[in-house]
Amino acid sequence: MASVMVKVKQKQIAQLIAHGKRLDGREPNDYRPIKIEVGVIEKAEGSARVKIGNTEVLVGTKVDVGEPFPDTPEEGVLTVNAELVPLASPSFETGPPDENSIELARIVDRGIRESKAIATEELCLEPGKKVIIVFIDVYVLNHDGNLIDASALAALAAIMNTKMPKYEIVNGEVKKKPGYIPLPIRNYPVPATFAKINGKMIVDPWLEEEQVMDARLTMTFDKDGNICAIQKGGIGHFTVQQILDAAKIGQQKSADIRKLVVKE
Amino acid sequence: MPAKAQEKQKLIDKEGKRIDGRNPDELRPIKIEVGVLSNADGSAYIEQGKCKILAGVYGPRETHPKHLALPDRALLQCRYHMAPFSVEERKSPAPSRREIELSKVIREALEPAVFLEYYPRTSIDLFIEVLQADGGTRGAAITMASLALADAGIPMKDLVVACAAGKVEGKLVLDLSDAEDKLGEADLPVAYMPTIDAVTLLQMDGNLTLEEFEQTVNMALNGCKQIYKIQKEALKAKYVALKEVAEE
Amino acid sequence: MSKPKRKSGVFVTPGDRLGVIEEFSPGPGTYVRQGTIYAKITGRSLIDLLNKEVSVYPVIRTAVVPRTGSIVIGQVAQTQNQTANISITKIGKRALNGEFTGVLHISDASPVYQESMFDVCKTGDIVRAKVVSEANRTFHLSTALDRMLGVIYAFCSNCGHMLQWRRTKMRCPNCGRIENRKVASDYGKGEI
Repeated sequence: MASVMVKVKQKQIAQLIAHGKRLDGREPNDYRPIKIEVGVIEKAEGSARVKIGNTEVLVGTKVDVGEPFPDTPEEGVLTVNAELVPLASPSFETGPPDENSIELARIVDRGIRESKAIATEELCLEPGKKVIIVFIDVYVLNHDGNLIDASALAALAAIMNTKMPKYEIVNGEVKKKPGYIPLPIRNYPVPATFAKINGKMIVDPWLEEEQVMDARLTMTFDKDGNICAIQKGGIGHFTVQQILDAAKIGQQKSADIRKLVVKE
Repeated sequence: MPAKAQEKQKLIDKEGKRIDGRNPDELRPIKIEVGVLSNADGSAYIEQGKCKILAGVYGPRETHPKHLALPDRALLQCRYHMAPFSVEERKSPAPSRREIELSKVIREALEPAVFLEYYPRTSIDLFIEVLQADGGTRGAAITMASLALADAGIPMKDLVVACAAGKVEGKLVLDLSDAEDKLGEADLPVAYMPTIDAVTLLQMDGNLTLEEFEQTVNMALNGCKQIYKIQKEALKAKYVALKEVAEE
Repeated sequence: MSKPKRKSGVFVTPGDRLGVIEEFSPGPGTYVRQGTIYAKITGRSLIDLLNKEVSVYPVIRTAVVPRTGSIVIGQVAQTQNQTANISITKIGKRALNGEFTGVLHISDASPVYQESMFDVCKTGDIVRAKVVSEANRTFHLSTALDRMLGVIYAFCSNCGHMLQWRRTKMRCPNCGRIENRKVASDYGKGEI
C-alpha cells in the first residue's frame, strides 16, 4: 500500500539525485557521520555500537564451546543472528526472524566468513568433538536505512573487541583457565552499500532513499581492498558499468571506514 | 531466593560495605536519557549499575489485530525482551516464560499511571529491550518505560518509579546487584507513583519476617523517591536541550 | 510531596502539583485528584490570573489521534460504490507512526451530487479530509466541506502513472486515459 506514497516521494528524491543532490544535503558518494563505540556491554565477550546517521546497531558476541560441523571437524563455528526488534521501527514486528533479518544476518556472516576475518582453525579444542563457537548477535536499535553497513561494521568492531576465555581439555572435559585472550582476527572486512535511484548510484541510502530505491548493492572489501562478498537486493537491476564504478568507489569508501575501526 | 548453602563469598564485609563498595542503603549509579530513538514516538535509555535497558513507545495507534481494541480506552501492550548477549550464557532470542511474565507485571505497573481513557480503540505499544542484564532489570525497565511514555506525550497521572530492596547475609540492602539477587535471601521490587502515593507493583521472593518486610518496603520506597528526582531531571534535560535547539 | 509551583513558565512533569481547585480551575494538560490540580504532561505551567486557570503548555510533542474536526491526510485503501476506506497517515502537520482507518461516505464526498464513489477517488489515491464524526467507533471523513479537501495525488487505474488535472477531468500523461476525481485545490502539490 505504501508504494503509492513512495511514488510521490520518489519523484522528488529522483529529481534531486539527477542534480547530484540528496534530500538530506549529502553528495551522492557521502556517508552519513559514523560513530563507533566498543565494549558497551560488559557481559558480552565483545560488543560494539555503531551509528550511521540515525541508524543505530548494537552487536554483542558470545563465546561458547560446542560441536563442530561434521564437514569441518577442525574448525570453530561462527554464527550470526540478526534481530530487527520492534522498538527500532514502526515497520518491525515481534515474532520469529523474517526474510529481512535473515538476509541481514547472512550478509554480515558472509563478509566475516569469506574474508577469513576470524581464524576458525585456531578455535579447535579437540578435532571432531569440541570447538569454540562464536555467536554474533546483531541488534538493530533504530532503523534509518543502510542496516547492512551499520551491522557489518558493528560486527567487525565487536569481534575485534572480543575476549574469549582460555579453554583447555583435561581428560576429555573442557575446562576454563583463568584469563582471556583476544579472538584470532586475520582480516577486517568492511562493506559499502549502494542504492540505485532513477539510474543514479548513491552510497549509504537512508530510510527515505531505501524506500524509493530500485535496487541495492552491497560489496564487502577485505583489508587489501579485495572484494570478499557481494549482495544485490531489490527488484531493480544494475548495468555492468555501474557495478564496476561502484566497486571502485566502494573500495575507497570501505578503506576510509576501516580506518575508523582499525587503528594502526 | 531461599538461603542456600553457598561457599562463603562474602557479600557484605565487616564495615558493612557491599561487594561493589556501596553502603546498604545506597543506589547503584543511575544514568537516564530521554528521547534517544528517532523512529519511536517516545523513548528512553537507562543505565543502573550494569543494567542497560532501552525502551521505545509507539502510539496511540490503531490496534492490530483489530478485535483486541477496547471500546472505552487504549490497550497498553508491553514487550519485555532480552538481547541474546545481555547475560553470561547466550540467551535464545525467543521469548522465555520469565520475559512473558515480566512483560505482564511491567504493563500492570504502568497502566494505573496512564490516562488510557483518552484514546479509546487505540493501542499504545511499549517495547523494552534489555541490552545488558544485572539485578533489578524490571525496576529499571519500569522507571525508564514511564519516561518513554511521557516522552511520547501521553498524559499520565504521575511518573512511575521502581526500585528493589532485599536481604543479603542478614542485612537489608537497597537496589540489589546481580550477585546479591542470586545469593541473597530476599528480593523485593516495588513500583510507586510518589505524588499519588500508589504502589503499582510489588513482588517478592525469599524469606523475610514481617518486621523485615516493612523495613524492606520502606527502604525500597526511599530508593524510589531518590530515583524519582533523577527521572524528572532526565525529562528536564531533554526539555533544556530542545529549548537550545529552538533558540539557535 | 513537591510544593505546588505557583509561577508561570515553571518546568513541570506528570504528577507535579500545580494548586488546588479552591484557587484555580484546571486547564489543558492538568487533572484533578482529591481537590488538588496536577500536571499530566511534560511542559511549562501557565497561570492565567484573569480567569483563575492553571494549565500546562507542552514542550515535547504530544500524542495525537484523529478527533472530530481534525484535518487528516491518508491513502484510499479500498473503494466501493458508496464508501471508501482511507488509511490516515497524517493528522494536521504530524505524520503518524502507523495509521488509522477512516471511512468516507459518498454523501460526504462532494458538495455536488455524485453518482458513484469511483468518480470521487480510487484505491491508491492520496486524499485530504476532515473528520466529521467518531460515531460507531469509526472515523467518518468528509471531503465536501472545503476546496482544500479532496484528492491531492491520483494515479491512473490503467497504468498507475500520476494523473494530471485538466480543468474538470483527470488525464493520464502515459496512456491518455480520462478519469474523474473530487480534487483538492492544491492537487499535485500538497505535502504528504
